[in-house]
Amino acid sequence: MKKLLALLLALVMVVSVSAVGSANAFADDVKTTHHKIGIAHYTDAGKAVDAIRAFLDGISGPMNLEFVYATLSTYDEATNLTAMQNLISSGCEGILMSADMGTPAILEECESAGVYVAGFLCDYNQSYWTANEEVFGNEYFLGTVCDGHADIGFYAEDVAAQVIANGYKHIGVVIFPEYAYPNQAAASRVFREKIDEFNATAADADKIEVYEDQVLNFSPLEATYFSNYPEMDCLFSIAAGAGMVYPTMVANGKTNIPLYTSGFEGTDDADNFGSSGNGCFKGTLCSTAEAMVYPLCLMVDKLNGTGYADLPEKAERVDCSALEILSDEDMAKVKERALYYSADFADSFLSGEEVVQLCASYNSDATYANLVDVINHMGVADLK
Amino acid sequence: MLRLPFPTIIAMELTMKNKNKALEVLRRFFLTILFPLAIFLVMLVITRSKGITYFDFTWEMWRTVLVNTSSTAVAALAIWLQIKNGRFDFSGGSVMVLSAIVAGNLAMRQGLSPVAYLLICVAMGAILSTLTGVVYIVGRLPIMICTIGMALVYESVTYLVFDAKGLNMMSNTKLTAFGRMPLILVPILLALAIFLVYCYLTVPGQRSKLLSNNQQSAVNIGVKEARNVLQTFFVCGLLLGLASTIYGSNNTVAPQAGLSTANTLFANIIPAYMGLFIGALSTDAIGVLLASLGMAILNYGLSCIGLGSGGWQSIIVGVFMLAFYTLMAQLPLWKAAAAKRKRLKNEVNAA
Amino acid sequence: MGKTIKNTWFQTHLTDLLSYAGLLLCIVVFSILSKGKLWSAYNLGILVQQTCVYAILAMGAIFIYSMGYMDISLGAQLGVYCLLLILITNASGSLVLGFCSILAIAIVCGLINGYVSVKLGLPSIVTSIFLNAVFGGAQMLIMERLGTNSVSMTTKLKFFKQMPVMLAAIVIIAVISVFLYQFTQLGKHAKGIGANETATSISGVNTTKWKVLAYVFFGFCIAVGALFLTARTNSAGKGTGAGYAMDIMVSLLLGGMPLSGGMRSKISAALVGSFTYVILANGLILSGVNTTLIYIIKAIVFMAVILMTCRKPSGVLPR
Repeated sequence: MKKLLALLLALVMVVSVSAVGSANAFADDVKTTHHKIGIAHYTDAGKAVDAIRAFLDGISGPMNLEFVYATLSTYDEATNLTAMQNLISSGCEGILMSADMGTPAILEECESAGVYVAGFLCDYNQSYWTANEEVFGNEYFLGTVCDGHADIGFYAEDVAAQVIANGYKHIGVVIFPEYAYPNQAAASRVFREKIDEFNATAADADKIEVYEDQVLNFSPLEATYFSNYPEMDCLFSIAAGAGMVYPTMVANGKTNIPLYTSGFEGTDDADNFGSSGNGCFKGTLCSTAEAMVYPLCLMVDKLNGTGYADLPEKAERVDCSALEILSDEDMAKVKERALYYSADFADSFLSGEEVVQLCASYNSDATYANLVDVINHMGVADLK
Repeated sequence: MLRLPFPTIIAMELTMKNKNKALEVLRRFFLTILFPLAIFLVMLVITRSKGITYFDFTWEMWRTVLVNTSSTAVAALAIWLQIKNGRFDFSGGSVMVLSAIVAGNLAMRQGLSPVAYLLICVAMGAILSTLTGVVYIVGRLPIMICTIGMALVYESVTYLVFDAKGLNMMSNTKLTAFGRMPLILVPILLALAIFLVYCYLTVPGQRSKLLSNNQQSAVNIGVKEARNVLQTFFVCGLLLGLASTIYGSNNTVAPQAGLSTANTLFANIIPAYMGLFIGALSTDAIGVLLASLGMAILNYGLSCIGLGSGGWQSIIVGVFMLAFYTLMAQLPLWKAAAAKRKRLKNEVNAA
Repeated sequence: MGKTIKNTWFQTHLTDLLSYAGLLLCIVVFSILSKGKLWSAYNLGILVQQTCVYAILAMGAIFIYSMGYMDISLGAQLGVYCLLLILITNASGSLVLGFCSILAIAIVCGLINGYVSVKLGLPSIVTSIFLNAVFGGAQMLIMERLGTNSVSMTTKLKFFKQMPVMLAAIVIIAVISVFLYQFTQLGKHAKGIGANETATSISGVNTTKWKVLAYVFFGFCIAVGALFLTARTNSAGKGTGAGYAMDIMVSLLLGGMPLSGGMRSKISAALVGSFTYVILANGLILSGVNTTLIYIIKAIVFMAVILMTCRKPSGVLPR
């Protein structure tokens, strides 16, 4: 699939290069404009950070972009405003941010400074539901790409299928509060529906019991959870399982309980996946750093004063492919070929030149639909 | 009148003395364990009234409680050692975090044993803490200011070592043996031994006491302050190293900034302060241990009734600590009042 | 004689001079490294905005640190006051009522911190830990009950976000602080308690009264700080205020404030320290320093500053 994607992009490039009369050196003909872009991420360490930096370093030359980094908070609005102000002061013309905290105030600040903002790997739920017009209707907000899918019901369905196939009988479900992550509560409902469908036709002995949602208030799972449900034989932690649930399982000797989760960290969850290590992790989910091309292209075009012909009037939040890892084969592919895991730009879904060609300002044939299509072909199946 | 032979009287007196002594020991023992025992009984009643059956003597419960007790108590002993010597060390948390990151990553990369991991943790703790002591002595900075500065330095180093990846070795069951039962008892026993030997059985420990009571007088009578400070920081480093062994085994350790490590360590400060009172009839170290045990039981009980995290847990623990401290602070006053009443009564009787 | 006086003046004010020099050095170095961006109109505006809350809080904290006490509940108090300010103002439509409410709570907390700790014979750190736990818990509970990550004020506090207003707030609080500190008994006795509480008490000073008053003024400053912090983003959440207790401590140290309190305490430390702290963070970003290196640079600068300003030349080691 990744090859197909490359082929598709190459075709687009050839067409566009032909249009300007050059046969083989599009890079020489495409005049890129230098821009300074701020990258404000909610954390400053971890696999995702390494991958994002590797990707941005890799494309900075061809895209003629300079990146300045800052760290945001997922809890404190004032911290974020300060970080954004400092980026504006340092000369950033546009800023990509991955935390939706204090966004209306940040947009007000950016608007007065003439600086554009876009989101990356963040669904902007808070703004989407409580300040939609103020944020998504603001001309200085260009849109955001979610951390995978805004609706992760597909993953819940896949996990339910595995639970049924593997014959697990007592399932725990762990989520973050619905107000912060409504998609997790929705995924839990989807999961239960699928299990209920199975139970409707299953023999009594085969019926599966799903315990009520355990809501984590952004703190680790408590040890008493396992005492409450001593018969639990599978755990679906839609909330970040590697960081919030797995440590408690280890501390309480419960790594024999299969864990399906989201938020792949590439550490314990990679070492103990499937048939590796203690085999606790059976499924995980994350999104790719390369999906940043969505806000980045929108930003570059905006700064260059151009835009896609088919660009929607109002800023959107779009999905991107998720790296859904549910088997040893999936994990092996991710470990071997994904930029997210290796932080090696050579493993990127897109080269710098390919990203250039995705921008309307550098490729008159580029379309918004194509941009959205590209970021939705970055799953495990698309890895080379 | 029956006159008993002298040796019999002596024997009886000795028996009485022994009996009294045994009673006194029993009294002290009972009063010392009263705190965790009372918490256990109160929480038992509360959890039973809520229909929870696993808060009693289940292995699952006591494993969690003992692990939490050990991790809290070792850190609290390190805090208490500095506080009892008149110093408030803000750098302890950063020493703990940096030691865990360095030792854990080295152990994983080199395929070392858990004992080697523990030893590296302790060595790192001792080196970093001693370095803080050296800066304190050479820089002649007020202790809080100096340790805040060193905490910022150590925290910043967490971003510079091992590609800023921190430490993640929880699932390495071999290396994290000292973070789980039963081997977690090794760090706590070592910490207790180090604390007790240093404070009560060594000359530097006694000198430290002199320095904390009256710094100038101690120096005047010939206590070498700089040497003693270094010794105390070194011992505190050993304790922090033991704390980091447990911390690194049970937590994902991320690089830290903005003095966040102070909170990591000071999360264990309540037992450190309580230990002084609980250990009034034994020693402060035992007090710290039992205070940690009591708090671990309290937290487990709160967790059973759904208040293990979040706002209510924080408020309950805060109010509990204030109530406890208030009660203990009034004890000397009550004792003085009781003594006064007794004296007055005696005087009235005599008159 | 004149030389002696000059020497004495120089020695007395050496710490002040060094902390001013530190601020000046920061300004000069970052002016060069940032290629002048430090002085852009926009940057000057955000510097004032970012410093305002720190400076107000630090000036209140001076009264506590002068007594040799430490307060770690500042951040949690600040967070709850911001939330309450928003909730009460939203519910009543009156900012005045919202502010008066948080001011009243802040003063009550000042009383608890000062009066209760003295009467119950508790160390100030214990009441501070208690307040931190209670306010931290209350902040979590409020957010859990609201069921949101962030709560916004319906009426925007644009007035309090303007640079001249923020600057004026700093000046007004500074004038009040200097007046209380230099020209009333509050400052004198706060420093006296820090220098030697027993001696101050024996000399006939009602230390309880002045402790309570110092904490009440601190509470007033936290309430005012909460107003300006809320005005910045017009919202608050469960992380609002986090880290402020330590930030204020670091700011005061950068300003040359001895955390052990006593006669060398001064209001200028709050202002110099707050500006130095904010300029340091801002300047490093403007200079394009890698984020992972920012921490070590800040730590080294901090160590350099305290080694220059806080070093005790002789005698027993400072506690």
